[in-house]
Amino acid sequence: MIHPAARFTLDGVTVDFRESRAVENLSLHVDPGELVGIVGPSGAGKTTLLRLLNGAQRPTTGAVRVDGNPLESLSARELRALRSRIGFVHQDHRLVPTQRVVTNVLAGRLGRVGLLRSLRDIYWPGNSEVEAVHSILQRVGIPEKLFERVDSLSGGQMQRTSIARALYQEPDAILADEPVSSVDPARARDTMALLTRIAREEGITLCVSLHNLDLAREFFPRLIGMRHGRVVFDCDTQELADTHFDELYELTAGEMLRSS
Amino acid sequence: MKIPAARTIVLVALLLAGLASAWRLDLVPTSGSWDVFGRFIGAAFAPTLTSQSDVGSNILPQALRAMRNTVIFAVAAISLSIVLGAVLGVLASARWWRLFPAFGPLRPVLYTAARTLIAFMRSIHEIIWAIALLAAFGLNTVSAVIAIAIPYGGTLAKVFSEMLDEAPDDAAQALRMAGAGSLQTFVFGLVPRALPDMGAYAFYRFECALRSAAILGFFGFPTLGKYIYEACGELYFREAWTYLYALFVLIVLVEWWSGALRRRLTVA
Repeated sequence: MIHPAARFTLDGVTVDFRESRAVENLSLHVDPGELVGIVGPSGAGKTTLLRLLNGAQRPTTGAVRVDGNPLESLSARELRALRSRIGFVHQDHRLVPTQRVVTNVLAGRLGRVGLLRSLRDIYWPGNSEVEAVHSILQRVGIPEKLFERVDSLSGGQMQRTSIARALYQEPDAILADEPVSSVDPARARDTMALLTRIAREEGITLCVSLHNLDLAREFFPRLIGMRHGRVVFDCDTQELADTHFDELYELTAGEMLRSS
Repeated sequence: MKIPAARTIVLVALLLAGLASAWRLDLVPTSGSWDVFGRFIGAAFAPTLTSQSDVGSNILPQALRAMRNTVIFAVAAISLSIVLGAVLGVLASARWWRLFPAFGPLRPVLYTAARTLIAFMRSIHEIIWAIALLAAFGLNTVSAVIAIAIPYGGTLAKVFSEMLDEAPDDAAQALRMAGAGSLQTFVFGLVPRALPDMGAYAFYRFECALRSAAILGFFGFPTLGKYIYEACGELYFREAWTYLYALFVLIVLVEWWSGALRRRLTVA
């Protein structure tokens, strides 16, 4: 099953927060079906970049376009429709811990239906919906957890549940913000393999921010390096030299103190 | 060093206020006798199932009926309170109104109206509501249920609104980012995050409702309070204690039940 994939364009985007500048004059282009890793130290603007791509963050200046449509011109309804096609995987999962896995995954499709229909879909789902969730859980490797409560799962299983929720959207793109920073290295590798495999199978666009450079190099054909809200490099992984990474993580004395 | 000093001043002031009010109220019984009170305490160790008024008859069936009535009144009252509390709790939640920018300047008006109504309902005790409703409708079962449901509904609404406003909004944010609308975000992201706490609190209020239902027996409703009041009036303290222990048993049972349920609701 191949979906149309999303195309993202950033044109001279700057985002100012109250105290600081999160990203500065960012321009980049992500083609449909591309797998992009975004690397850089904490505070580099990786999360802001991902949030710009689905309209969760508005640019202070500049324009964000998805499939050629500038986000600032979309109505609330159109923005909802767009977001329902973009899955977002959060570092901290953002699930409802006292509900079952199936209920949490079913919530992925809220963007497509009205309130009454969604009440039925989530609290009294039909067999076909439950089966659809089950087959997605199979793909992410936790089919036996279908009716388990989320708060009985391990961190890795919660991460998979939140990936399943994004997949249940049948998205054109998945944006994942540090999806593996809270799991052990073996699980991190599994999760990366899972995300990239699914993106390839579905032919959808995938943008993932991550700390781990080895994982980034292993799984993504294209890497964007960010630091202090700017793009330091943006190229094919094969063309990357070690000096690129040195530049990215070259710490100032102040940063070293903070990170120790 | 400054903070402990301030704390000492506050503590001393509170102590002085307590002593002064006791002195002002002249808290020494000048009439009656410690003897009667002593008999009341003594009867606690000798509750009886044999009626002291109607000598020889067994009061167990009556005690059980009174327990059943107390539970029925409390269940009816708390059910109505939960409905009132849920509706008003949502309307008094800041997050709810933040979801509807379309209401514009009407939002603070509606929010304040809901909070004022809640404060009014809560500020009048169920006994006062009962007196008013009895005057209006007579010794009617509905009077007792509504008398409890008004202040309880207000209290539940206040606590529910705070729980909704303080629940983690992580899931709600995730749903919003997946395209969910405002109502959906509230219903599927926020409410489930607050629901375990809301359920646990509603159960605690059910315990309180049992006590209130018992007390309303003082007005003649056939709950435990009616028989406690009658027995005490005749100084049949051993009989009164039987009913008091019956109330105690009810409260302990509900506490045990709600504890078990709370563990299921909140802990993995």
